[in-house]
Order: sequence, then C-alpha cells, then structure tokens
Amino acid sequence: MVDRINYKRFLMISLGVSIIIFTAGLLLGVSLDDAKVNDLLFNINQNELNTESYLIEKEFISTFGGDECSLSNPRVDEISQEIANIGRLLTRYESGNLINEDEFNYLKRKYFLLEIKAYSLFTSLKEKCNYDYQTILFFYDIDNDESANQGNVLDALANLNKNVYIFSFDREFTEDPTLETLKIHYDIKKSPTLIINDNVKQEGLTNLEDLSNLIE
Amino acid sequence: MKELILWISSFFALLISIFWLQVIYFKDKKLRNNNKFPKVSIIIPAHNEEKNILRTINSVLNLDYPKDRLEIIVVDDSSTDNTSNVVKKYRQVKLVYNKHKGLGKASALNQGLKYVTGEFFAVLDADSEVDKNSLKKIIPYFDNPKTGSVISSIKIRNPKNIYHHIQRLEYILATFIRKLMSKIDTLHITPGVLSVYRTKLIKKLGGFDENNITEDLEIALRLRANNYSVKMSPDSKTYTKIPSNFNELWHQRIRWFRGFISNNIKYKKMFMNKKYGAMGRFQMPLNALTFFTIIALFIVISYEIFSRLYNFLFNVMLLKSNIFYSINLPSLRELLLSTNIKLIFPLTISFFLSFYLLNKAHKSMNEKFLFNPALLIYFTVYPILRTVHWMTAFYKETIRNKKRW
Repeated sequence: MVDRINYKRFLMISLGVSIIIFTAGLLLGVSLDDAKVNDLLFNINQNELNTESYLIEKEFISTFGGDECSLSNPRVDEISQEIANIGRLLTRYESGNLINEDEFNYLKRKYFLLEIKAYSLFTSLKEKCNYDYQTILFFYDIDNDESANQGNVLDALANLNKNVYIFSFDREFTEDPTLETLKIHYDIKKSPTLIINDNVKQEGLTNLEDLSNLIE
Repeated sequence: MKELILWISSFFALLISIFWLQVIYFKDKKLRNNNKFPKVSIIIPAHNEEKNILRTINSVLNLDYPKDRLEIIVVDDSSTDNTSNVVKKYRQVKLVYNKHKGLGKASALNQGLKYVTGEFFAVLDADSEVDKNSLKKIIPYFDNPKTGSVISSIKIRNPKNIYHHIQRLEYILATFIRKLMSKIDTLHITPGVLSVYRTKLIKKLGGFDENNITEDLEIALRLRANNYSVKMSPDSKTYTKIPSNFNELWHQRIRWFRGFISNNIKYKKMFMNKKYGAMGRFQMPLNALTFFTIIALFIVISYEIFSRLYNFLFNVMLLKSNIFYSINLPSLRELLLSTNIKLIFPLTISFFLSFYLLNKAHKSMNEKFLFNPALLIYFTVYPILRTVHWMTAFYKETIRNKKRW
C-alpha cells in the first residue's frame, strides 16, 4: 500500500491558522480605525477651536473697536489650511478601507459643517474687507474617476495659487441637512461640480487652464 | 469585488503556504538501500543533439550501478545533424531510429520502449546529465508495488545569465514542492530528467501519449488515475539544460502550461474523487484553484494598472506641466494609517512564508541562497510574466490553437 499522511489534518490546521491570521488582520484594522478616528478628531477639534477663537476675537473687536480686516487675513489662511489638511486625511483614510463606517461618517459630517461655516465666513469677509482670495466649492462622488481627477486639478491649483480656498463635499452624503440645503441652494445634480466665488457653476471635469481663467 | 478577489486570493495563498509548511516538518520514512540492482534501461530520445549527447551518455556510463544491469538506448528522433555518428562511437549504447511523428518526444520514447529489456526503464533527455549515485537512490522506492514511477531531484548547473538565475530559483522551489507532494502522495509529474518507470506497467497502460505536448505530465496523471503513485528521490541528483533567452523560455512555458490545462481537464474524473485520496481531494482542486486565482488576479491587477495609467495620462492632459503640483506627499503616520491593514497583514505573512519556503528549498537542495538581482525579479516582475504565460496558454487552449513542441 502507498504510505499516506493525514493531509486532512494538515488542511484543517492550515484553515484554523489562516482564520486566526485573518482575524488578527481584522482586529488590527479595527485598532487602526480607532487611530484614524482619533487623528481626524484631533484635527477637527483643533480647527473648531481655532474657528471659535477667531469668532470670539472678531466679536471682541466689533464690541470694543479695532480693525477687523487686518486681524482676519492670517486667521482665514490658517483655518483654510487646516480644513484642506482634514479633507486630505479624510480622503486618504477613506480609501484605506474602513471597518467602522458609522464613526467615520460622524466625523465626515462634522467636517462638512466646519467647511460650510468657514465658507460662509470667508464669503462674508471677502465682501466686507474686499479681499482678493477666491473660494471654490467642490462637489464630488467617491469612487468616481472624474471626481478624483477634478480633485487633482484642484490640488494643483491650490498649490500654485495660495489665494484659492477650496471646500470639498461628498455629493452623495445625505446625513446632514445643512449640506442638503447647500446642494439645493446651488442645484447640485452631478459630480464633479464646482461653484466658483458663489456665482460661477461649472459642471463636469474642468481642466487647470480653464479653471485658472475662471478664477482670474 | 476587487477587494473580495484580493481577500480570497490572499487567504488561499496563506492557507496553502501553511499547509506546505506542515508537510516540511512531517518526518518521512527514511528509505534504506535495498542492495537490489534490477535491470534498468535508460532511454535517451535525441533530436539534433550532437552538441549535448556526449556529456549525457558519459554521465550515464559513469553511474554507480552494475554495468551488466544497465542498458542504454538512444533514439535518434529524425535528427538532421551528426547525432547518430556521435552515438555510434559508443559500443555500450543501442542506437535506434525513429521517424518523428505526433507532438514532442513521445513517439521516440515509445520507439525506445520497444527495445527495452529491463524490469525498469528511465527517460533521460539528451541535454541532461545524471549524478553518479542518482539511479541507485531511486531503485529502493520501487519496493512498494504501488509505486509506478520515481523521479529525481533536478538542478541547474552553473547558471550564466539572468534567465538562468531566475529559472534556478524556479527549479529549486519546484523541486522542493515536488518533494513535499511526494510526501503527501500527490506528485503528478515525471520530468524527462531521469524519471524511472516500471516497464510492464507502462506497456500495459499503452506507452506515452504521442499527441500530448507534455507527455511527462500525461503519463504521471495516467499512473495516478490507475492508482499508482509517483515518488521523488530527493537524494537522486540530476542536471538539466534550460532556456537561455526570453523566446525559448516563453515557448517552453506556454507548452508546459497548455499541457497543464489540457491534462488536468483530461483527468478531471479524479477531481474531488474519494477513490484517489489526497490526489483527488486535495491536489486536483488545488491545481484548479491555483489556475482560477491566477486568472482572477490577472484581471484585477491588469484593471488596476490600466486604470491608474489611464488616470495618470488623463491628469497629464488636464494639468500639463503642472502635474507635480497635484501631488501632496503624505507623512509616514498618514501613510501607515491609510494602509488597508486587513488585507496587507495576511499578504505580508504570506510573503514572508513564501520567502521562508524558498529558503527551506535552498537548504533542502544544498544550494546557496543568493541575494542577487534575480531574486528581486523573481518576486516582482517574474510573477507578472508567469501570469502572462498562464493567460496566453489559457487563451491558446480556449481557441484550440495548434499545439507545437
């Protein structure tokens, strides 16, 4: 007879060990999710605090007197950079595959609200202080190549022109009524869509050259 | 879907690596030399081998085996060069002629089989050499009456160029896996470099399939389908010549892989069949799963590469010379946090396990583990090339492209 070894036992052990390794991977994923959430939360809290600080300072000046516009310029820049950074982190962490989506969606909602708050503030300051910066609202879809490409164009624009402030929103995110109001206000139907300085609406992919011409 | 395919593939790779790892540490029964020297006929099929056959015959004549128990048959398979004249110089060698027909060397082997007088016969390619003790180390395995064939441990002598070095790694791993398959009794290939068979059995089974491009795989599967096992003698060392350039390698691999596909289909009756033990319920499904995993991974990876390339070119078009301004490099922390750890973790373990297996394979073959460019290529570019080989073979089999040697 042919000598046989118990391959079934080997197979069962392999299956068991593989399941353990995969479970360990999943558990690592969960702890990594926590680290992602903490990282985002830290950045969001920081931005919330800076925005709050700026608003208190602004109120102080309007009550006790002072030049609101000279105070605003560096603060606007700081807040905008923080927002851009949080946006980048959100995109990166989201593409790294999430396990706990609920927690992530909560942070996303907080981020979109911060953006809307900053956008309103920047738009009103632009008028009041006659600033020459440009604001762009960017509505995107996740897992959409055109949106991803538009994101790259906007990244390049922001790196080339420091006077451009970009606020990006997930068009398919439906968990926040304020964001819904924003979408209705600008009649957002497709992605990517850009709203430039509150008055120019650009649907579909816009290349860098056209976009640069539009904001001039 | 992409994520699911990658997940299943990495799970499968991990499972199989752990399986083989256990087989490594399974202690096989050590065979003792039985001091039996049955008559063995060595068939050397040769087609235009005037440059190589001399070394092959000399190595056979140097075998540590009683000369009166050894028969050497060279089959000149319609050579147009000086092969016959070279062979005629050896009085100990029986030279027979074959009018080449069918695919490959099967008809030459069948012609040689007609002249065999030994209880056992061996097939030895005309571009191969045998070690002094190689035959002696094989014979004891035939003490088991259900052993239909025993194969040797094939090595590559003095690799010269990068193709040789990559194939050296391949042969080391393949021979090691064959050794492990032999342990769990699922070995199903009898290469043309000193594979020994029972003469009566092979004649009873009808000889070699002349319309098969991988007659060595076919005969081994036929043995298995008739409930005979194929064993490997790790101590039996032999040496073979391998392709030296891309073209030769390409054609050889396409032939091998087409043979793998067609012969696995031919013997599909063994698939999941309890009657064939580990061969039917483990090895055949493993062969099929490996094949489908390769195809699925090929589709996913090709899609990923092409879509990334397309997007990159599209971005170049959109951004022109400002393309680099769109890149925001992440910090190390961001990079680590954005990793898809639930996929990367098992994949990393699989990678290290395969590295460990390769290292074990080197030790088992008494080969030095060389950290050279071939090792890097073997783990990076070569898997892509192998996948392309598989896909081409699959395509040619699907459209029933004419088979050629």
